[in-house]
Amino acid sequence: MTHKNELSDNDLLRQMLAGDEEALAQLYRRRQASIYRFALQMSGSNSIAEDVTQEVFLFLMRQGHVFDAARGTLSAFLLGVARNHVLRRLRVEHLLSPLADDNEDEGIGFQVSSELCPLEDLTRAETIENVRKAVLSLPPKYREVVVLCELQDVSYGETAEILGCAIGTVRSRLHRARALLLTKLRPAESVEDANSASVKSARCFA
Amino acid sequence: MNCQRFEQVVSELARGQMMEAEVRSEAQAHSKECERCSARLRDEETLTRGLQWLAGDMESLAAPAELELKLREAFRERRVVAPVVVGSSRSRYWLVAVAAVLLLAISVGAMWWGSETPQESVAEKTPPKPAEVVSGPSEPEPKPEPKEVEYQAKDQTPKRQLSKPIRRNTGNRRAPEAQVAHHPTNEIATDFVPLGDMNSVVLQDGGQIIRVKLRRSALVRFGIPVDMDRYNENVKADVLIGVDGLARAIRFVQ
Repeated sequence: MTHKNELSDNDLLRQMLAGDEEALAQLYRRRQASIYRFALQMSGSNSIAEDVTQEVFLFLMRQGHVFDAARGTLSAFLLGVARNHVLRRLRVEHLLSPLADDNEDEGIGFQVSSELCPLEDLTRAETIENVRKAVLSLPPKYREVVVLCELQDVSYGETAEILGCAIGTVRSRLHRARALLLTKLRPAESVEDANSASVKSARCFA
Repeated sequence: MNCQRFEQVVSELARGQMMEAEVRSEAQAHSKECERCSARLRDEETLTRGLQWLAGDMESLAAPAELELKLREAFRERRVVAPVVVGSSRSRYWLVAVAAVLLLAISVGAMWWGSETPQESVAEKTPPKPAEVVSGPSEPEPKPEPKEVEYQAKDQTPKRQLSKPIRRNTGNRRAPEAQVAHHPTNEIATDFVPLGDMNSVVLQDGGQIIRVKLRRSALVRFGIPVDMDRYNENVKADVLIGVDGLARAIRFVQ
């Protein structure tokens, strides 16, 4: 008899839809962490991440038959479902944010401080925290490519499948997202330097 | 390679992505010659390292163990709740908009009815003809309305008595509507609109309602038309908070 952990995702899904609880458990153990982390990295909220993970698997129980293996992997399918749930939750959370938070430039709470040390001088813990906040402050369409391509190590192709866009779009969004991250992480004086440098280089191009 | 071309490949270079060997060596050579591009590459590499650290830091995170038990239980008992919203978000907005307009119309109607005194209402709503019938049987009988004829044919009662049941019915119909309009708080609220993908199992566990203020512009998200002149004003809303502390549903209060 084949052990559950030797079965592919597709086989486990098939067995789960046929009523096999152990197949669900195996599939859950295999895929829950990446879904949970994706939701957490997108939202910055443990409770949202937990809810989204639950919703994704409830969706799989209810409508797992809509998955088409010919169109991509189950992993990408689940991340796509998770993405929809996260974006919906983020819209609601944004809607219910306190009225005092009028400054949209502050994003989800991170603001680049002019007192930040240069990126190179930050300790590892500080760097992690600042990068985390900077990622959370990105607009969702840039945040999701950073989370998928950089933090989840998902390929461009699979990311395009999850987001439902072209690979070129993923590349360009990632490039733009990284530029935004650098701007957010760079101290204010460095931004001015960089701007003046870009002016100089623009002249150089001319 | 010039700076412009370097800019196009610097992210891939810093991330160690696959690229043509020739392009890679040219980019590396350019970064050694150009101070600005060298700094740019350093920034990208530092960012890549920061992102890798963050990914590594979160690598061990996973959903709580009890979630598996919950899902197993839901699977076993087939307690999978039907999704709250079956259609697309656009159709949901339309449904909410239609519901809101209907509710508003009913509310306005209820307020209008409630603002009238009973005497005025009777005077307005009751046609004068039955009153004439009551005043004296010797007077010429008015031409019966279709409703009266039907009633008469059914019950075989004299026309003189018709006015009473008609009036009594009118009064009974008005009572609940007047009650709505004269609610102690003088507030009119919409139905609760689910927020996000609400799981009704969560709602069954209880929760609490919190009064909040929202920008009027938020109504747009629910498909409710907003007067642009009052776009920045606040509106009151009740948010239903589940036992898990998350907002589950919302209703608007006037």
